[in-house]
Amino acid sequence: MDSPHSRHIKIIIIAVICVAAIILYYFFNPAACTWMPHCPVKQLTGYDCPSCGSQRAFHALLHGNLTDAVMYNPFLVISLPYFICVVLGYMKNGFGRMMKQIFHSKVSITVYIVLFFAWWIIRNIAFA
Amino acid sequence: MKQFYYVNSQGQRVGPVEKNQLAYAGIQPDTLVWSEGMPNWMRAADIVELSFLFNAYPPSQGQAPMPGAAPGWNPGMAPNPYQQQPPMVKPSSWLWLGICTTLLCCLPLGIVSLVYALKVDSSWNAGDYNGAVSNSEKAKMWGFISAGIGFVCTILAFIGGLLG
Repeated sequence: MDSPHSRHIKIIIIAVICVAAIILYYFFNPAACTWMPHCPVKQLTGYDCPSCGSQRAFHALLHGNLTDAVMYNPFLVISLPYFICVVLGYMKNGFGRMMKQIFHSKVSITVYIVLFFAWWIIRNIAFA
Repeated sequence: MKQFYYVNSQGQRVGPVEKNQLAYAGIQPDTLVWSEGMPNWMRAADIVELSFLFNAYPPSQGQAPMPGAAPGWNPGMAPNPYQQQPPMVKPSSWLWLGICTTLLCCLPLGIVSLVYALKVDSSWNAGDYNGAVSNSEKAKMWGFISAGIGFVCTILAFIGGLLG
């Protein structure tokens, strides 16, 4: 089990990474920057992976531009809130336990996996 | 990993069990434990190597009851009727890692981690604790493999982006 001390350190590290990512993706537009990482799968195979467009979608989300975000990657727009709920499920209080019961459940993970593959196939067939 | 045997509350010998899985076996300070190299069975609380099992709940002198113990039960009295209850701690499914890697790494390897995360739940619900522990370890392993590959690929792609 985590000691309270190591738990605090983990929370601080995660918070720093999140804030850094938000600042980075707020000020830099991945669509216009050449130095931002490109998807290795796309470069190797030519096919879009399920996360292609995530950086642009995240940039659009941070600027409150939901329509653009959905156009770049609707899967991210759905799974980012899901991810936040999963992380909230690690809280040790009653709210955390409730979130854990809902979002760490077999059903939730199955839905996530199915959506992942469905979106991967659909985007390469329909939007190719 | 070192293997241990222990005597359960019904007086039956159980094992061999890996050391890290003893945490899920409901071992009490008074449980008799033996492993190769020991001359005789010993109380778990007297084995330095197993002190990790009890650090969270040091054997008390009867003030605070052990979690899960029946009222009035103390480590000196055996057997504890609640010893056969499921262990308190469900092993982690490493779900955050699986989702992070599927979201960020562009690689479907993280899905393997998520599938094991699912299995932690099924094993746990079926009462298969050893299965839940081993699935938890696999979820962790695949999560980190996926994260590692994703990290390397991202660095390569980053360098590729700089050059090209």
